[in-house]
Amino acid sequence: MAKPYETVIVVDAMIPDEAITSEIDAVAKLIESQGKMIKLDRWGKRKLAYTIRKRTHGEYAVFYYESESENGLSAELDKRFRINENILRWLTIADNPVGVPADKLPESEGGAPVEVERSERSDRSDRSDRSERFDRSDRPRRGDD
Amino acid sequence: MADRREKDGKTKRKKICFFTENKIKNIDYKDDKLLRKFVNERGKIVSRKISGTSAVYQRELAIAIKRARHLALLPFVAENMR
Repeated sequence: MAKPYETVIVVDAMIPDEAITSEIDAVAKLIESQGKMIKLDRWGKRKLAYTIRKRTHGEYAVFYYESESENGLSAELDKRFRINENILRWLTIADNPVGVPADKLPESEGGAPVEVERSERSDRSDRSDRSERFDRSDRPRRGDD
Repeated sequence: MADRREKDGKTKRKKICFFTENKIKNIDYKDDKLLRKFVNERGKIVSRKISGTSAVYQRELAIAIKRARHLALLPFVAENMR
């Protein structure tokens, strides 16, 4: 049973344009090998809401595709994304009735979308700029100090 | 949600759920423009009491916002959104 999927990736905007395109194409190729690509939506460069590994901008791309769950495409994609240092964030969702602009919901009204894979988000290195944000000294003192 | 209204004498709000009102069925975590409406100046998710969102949609909304945050479309903490 072919399931509809969507995967969003955020590519480091600091790498050269050809590199960005080649990353995206590589993902597309992998998707095509194990499933069927429905649509590729490139949002282009966007400012990130917070810094990721010190970067401020990212290239966003959304892949809408379908695949048989037994193919293990999601796991394979996740593996690749994890290894690739240029891909900063990713999120794969299955059965999402939203998205997939222009119809094409292959009948699998499986109900609730299922989040399949997402990147880890533990770059504590970037937390350092968060603590500079406000002056800790004017935090109200608690009774016990 | 009308149960409290009369008895209170003080509560007068009658906010309607944005999503049921506009007949939106599913909330897209990729639509940051929409999502921003439900987040306050600090980037925090607005409560149902304030936004008037129905329970079902609030749950979906929260999930969508959290995903958007993961993808850096929305911040986790901010000082200035507005």
